[in-house]
Amino acid sequence: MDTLRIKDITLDFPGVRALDNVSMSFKTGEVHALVGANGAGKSSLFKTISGIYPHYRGKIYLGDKEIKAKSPHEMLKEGIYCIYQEVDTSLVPELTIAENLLLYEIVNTKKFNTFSWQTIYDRAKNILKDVGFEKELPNVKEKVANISVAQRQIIAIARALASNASFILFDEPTSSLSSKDVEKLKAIIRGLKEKDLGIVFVSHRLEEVFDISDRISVLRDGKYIGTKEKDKTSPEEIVSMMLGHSLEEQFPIAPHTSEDETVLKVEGLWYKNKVRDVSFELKRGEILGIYGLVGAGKTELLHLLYGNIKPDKGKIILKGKNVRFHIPKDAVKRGIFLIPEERRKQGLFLEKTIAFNIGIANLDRISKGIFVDKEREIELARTMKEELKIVASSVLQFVDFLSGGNQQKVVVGRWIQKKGDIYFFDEPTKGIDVGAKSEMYRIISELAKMGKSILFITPEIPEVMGLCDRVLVMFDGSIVAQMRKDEMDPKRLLAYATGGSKE
Amino acid sequence: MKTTNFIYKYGVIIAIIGLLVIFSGLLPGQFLTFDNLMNIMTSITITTLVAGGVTFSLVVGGFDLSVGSVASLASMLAAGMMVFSVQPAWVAILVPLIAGILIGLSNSFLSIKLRIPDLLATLGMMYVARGIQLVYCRGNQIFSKMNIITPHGIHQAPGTITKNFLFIGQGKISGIPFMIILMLVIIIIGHIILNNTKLGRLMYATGGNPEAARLSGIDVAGIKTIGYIFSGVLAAIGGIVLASYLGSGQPNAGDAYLMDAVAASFIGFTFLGTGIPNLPGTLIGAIFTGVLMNGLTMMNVPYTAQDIFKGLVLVGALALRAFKNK
Ligand SMILES: Nc1ncnc2c1ncn2[C@@H]1O[C@H](COP(=O)(O)OP(=O)(O)OP(=O)(O)O)[C@@H](O)[C@H]1O
Ligand SMILES: [Mg+2]
Repeated sequence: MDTLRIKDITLDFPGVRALDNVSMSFKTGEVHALVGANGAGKSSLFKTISGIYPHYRGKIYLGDKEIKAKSPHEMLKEGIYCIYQEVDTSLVPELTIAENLLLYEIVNTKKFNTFSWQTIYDRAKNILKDVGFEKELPNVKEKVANISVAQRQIIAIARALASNASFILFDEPTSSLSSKDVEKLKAIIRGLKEKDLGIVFVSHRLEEVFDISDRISVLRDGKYIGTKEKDKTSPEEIVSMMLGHSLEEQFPIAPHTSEDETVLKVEGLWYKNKVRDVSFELKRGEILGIYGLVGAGKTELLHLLYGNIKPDKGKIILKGKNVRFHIPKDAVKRGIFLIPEERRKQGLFLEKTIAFNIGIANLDRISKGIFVDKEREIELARTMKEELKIVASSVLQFVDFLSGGNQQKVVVGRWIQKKGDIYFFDEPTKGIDVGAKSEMYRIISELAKMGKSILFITPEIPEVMGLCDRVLVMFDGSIVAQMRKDEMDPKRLLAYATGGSKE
Repeated sequence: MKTTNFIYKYGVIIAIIGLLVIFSGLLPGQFLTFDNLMNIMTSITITTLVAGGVTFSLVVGGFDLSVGSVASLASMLAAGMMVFSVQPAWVAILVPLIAGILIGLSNSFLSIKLRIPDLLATLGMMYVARGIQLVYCRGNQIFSKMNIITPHGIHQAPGTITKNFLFIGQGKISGIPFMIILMLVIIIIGHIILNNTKLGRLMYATGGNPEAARLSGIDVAGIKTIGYIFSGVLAAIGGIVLASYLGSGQPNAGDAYLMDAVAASFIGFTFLGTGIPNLPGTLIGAIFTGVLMNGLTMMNVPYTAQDIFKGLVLVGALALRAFKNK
């Protein structure tokens, strides 16, 4: 058995102390969960251990040997492999799945001539087979640019599994995976533990944390709070360690009632083979869930309604009028807003400040004539920072450096103050902590109470059951079931979503 | 970490000050004079205007390679309007501006509607603009009272380049060349547009992340078109100033500004550590290369060798940027 021990690690960024004297230890043959609120410092800790932030202070020991985390390359040689939260940054979109899987080997080999395309493809297929992901990535010749986040995540995982690591650090590996893939990943992690590897993983889903981990460590505001044996603690205790106080109600208690007025009506919508003959109605003040597995066509459906892609056939009727949006701007003008699924790619201007990112959709509000009033811009951002509890040193911080969950809140913050009627949320709670989650639920139900209609995509059954007035279940591009709140039942939801039964 | 940041932020300014110190040491009494400084500013005025065009195209996520030829075309049209068509100065200014707008529209049509990569689309338009210019002047320079050769014989051109027009590039206001003032005013206005207006926000958003911009309700195609129009107009203004400065239209005279303009824009990225295209940075970038070239010329480094230095400066600036991005 080997240990990975960190001692008195402190990590500073201009204006922020991301880690403050953190000490803890991880063991091989153990699954160790690292939890904490958004911005607690989990990703910073991983990046420090894996050599991305060599300016840390403190010590890192592998066994009895002190190692300096100077670069990812060197840490890899020590057998420490990290899968980052921003999985995109470790993949090359222009290359194929196979090349990405074998990236390190291809880059590090000195014998170029031994690599033929066929060997690369064969090796890649073998790796996928070994780790059990051949179904998810059937075509290794596909370019990474054309595949989903979930699939990209799988590449990164497969790559880690194929390397000779003794410790693998996963930063929110499950946040973009479907529940089926999550199960698969859990099985893989258990397998790795059997093989005596050390696994450390970050997750905001406590049920998952309690399911597979042996020990749980908590960070709060960059400080180490404590480590608990899984069997000797409870989700409630962990949550209160994370937040510094206990959390009473996850979902807003008083369910509201939606009105009868139909705001949005969709008839016979088709798009390639992704969306097939979809029809439904959205009422005023209703929270309508769309539940389904990855690839069911949920995101495409929202993008069709938002004018980002054009339907092949079908009608969209907004407040009794047939509408045809050419670009999303047309939808925004009619009071329809989208919080997209992939925040870094589709939501954020990474090289810009929080204020810019929120202000950009509210230019009329923060301007006098053609001029942007910077004070109002900052004011608006401050309001949203407070309302959504965005953790950042100021609203002039660049969003690139925010923690994942806080980036998500910035995207949501863009629309909250705008006068709209319909909000599309595409997995808004992906990667945000329990406190922020219940905050998000509160925001959504508040919007609904104000008479706004909400279309809410989620792959998580508790969210469907807790928040939605009604749910549409999608499978393979079609709506296979609709359920009112009183009809919802986890087993039936899952059965329909996996194509098990048809109504 | 702190020091590299400092170098990144203020590198260009430090380099300019360094050059000023070195050259005034090596060339006592010659380099650091009012006249020579004005000289430097005059020499970079047109570069800066054309570079302003490149900067606008970069802000919206494009890359306009046609700016040099647009400047050429604009200067020929300006001269031709007065010499061939006997038009007053304002027409000689307006027509090239319209040409700049049209080329900007064509660039955006090619890149947005036909989805040709920006570099290639604007490269194509670079040749088209140059061709139009050469056809218009039949490959000859255009100047007052020039002889025009036609199948029916030789006759004198009817018009002259007017005094009013010559003021743009040759006039002075209390000792300061008007073209410098014009350039500074345009850069300031451009900077205000980019930094303080709604349009500027939309432009930076479009260039920063087109997909996010589109999903935030921005008409990405429209904004990019506006960026390319600004680019064409600024390049055209550069060409007008050029024609006035030379007092004639010289074929392809604007082409040479393309590379200097690109260099100035990219050097400008680093200015104050923004890492994004910005007009004050572009001006500083142009000043930097201007100071360097002026000093080298005064030290009798042959003109032919100067491109080597320009190249090194550009590579240095890009390296600084890549270094920072790590
Ligand atoms: N490169 C950076 N520059 C400046 N500040 C940073 C940088 N990286 C992280 N931070 C700051 O450090 C703090 C910790 O961030 P970190 O990403 O480690 O949080 P996290 O626990 O992973 O949160 P999440 O659950 O949201 O992913 C945050 O306040 C963040 O803004
Ligand atoms: Mg994180």
